[in-house]
Amino acid sequence: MSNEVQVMIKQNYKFSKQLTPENERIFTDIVCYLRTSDIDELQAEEAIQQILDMFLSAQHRGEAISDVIGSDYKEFCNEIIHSSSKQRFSSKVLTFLELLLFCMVLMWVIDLAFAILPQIIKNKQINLEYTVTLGFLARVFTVLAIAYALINYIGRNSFQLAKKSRKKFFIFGCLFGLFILLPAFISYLLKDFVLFTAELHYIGLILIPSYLASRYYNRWRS
Amino acid sequence: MNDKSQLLKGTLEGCILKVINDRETYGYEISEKLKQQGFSDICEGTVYPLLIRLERNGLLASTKRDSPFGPKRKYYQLTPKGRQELATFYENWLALKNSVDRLFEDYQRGVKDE
Repeated sequence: MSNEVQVMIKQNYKFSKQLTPENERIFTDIVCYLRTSDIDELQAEEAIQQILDMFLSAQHRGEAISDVIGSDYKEFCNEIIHSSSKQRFSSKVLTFLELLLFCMVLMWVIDLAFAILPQIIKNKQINLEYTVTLGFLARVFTVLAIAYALINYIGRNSFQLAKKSRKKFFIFGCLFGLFILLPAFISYLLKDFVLFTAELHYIGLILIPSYLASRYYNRWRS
Repeated sequence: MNDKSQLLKGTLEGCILKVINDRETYGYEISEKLKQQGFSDICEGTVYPLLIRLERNGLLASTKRDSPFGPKRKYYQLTPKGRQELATFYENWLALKNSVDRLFEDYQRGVKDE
């Protein structure tokens, strides 16, 4: 994600706090829908910025949002998506790579906190041997895949999901349960498949700099 | 085809170019101007996607200025390509208008005579 996009996301979020609850609900649906669409990140955020100005201006004039953008919000968004440039493939790959590395660093830190620290405290000595199992990699990939699917599902269906129903709550509850249980189950199954053992600091030395490099590159490339 | 919005679709981009040609402006002002001129069904939400498309095709350039409510607001100007497109649109529109007028010249009289 480029620096410019990140600054805009922060600003848009800040100004959206001025919206009335009803307008904020509609605006959030639009934001979710546009951000998970395949338009270029910068263009999506610019559209969000302009829509926010439309919303705030309408609010100031005392007009309803449906008077400004029509009552079919999804159609309005589709028109915008249709008119905008699509995200480039290289940009998609880079964003995914950054996410993958972030997920790996995060899982590794969690793993350290839950598996290594108790050992250190118990045995009063630092064991630098760190075993990377197939379970660890599988856990990273399942968490990433489920999170990705969940976010896209919410985004694509933001307008329908805004209407609350018991069935949706149930489906969401199940999905969330899956989100917690599936990675744990898979990593338990594969925990004995040792891929390699390396010293702790070497893993950090590879993971963290490569994450920072990908992040730095993604931020400054545009 | 009898639907007014269908008829309007092709002409709206040209009309937006004309409004921007008069002076640098932004989405809401454009939709208000069009409404004043009798385009009653137009709202900001109709104009905005067209502005994106026109800018993407290089017919418009934009400048971001502070808006009274916080987020920056985009003001649009015509590019040289946009001015050229406006001239072409008006030429085509006149030709089309004349042809339709000529074809329908006796139509209204006919209706009145009945």
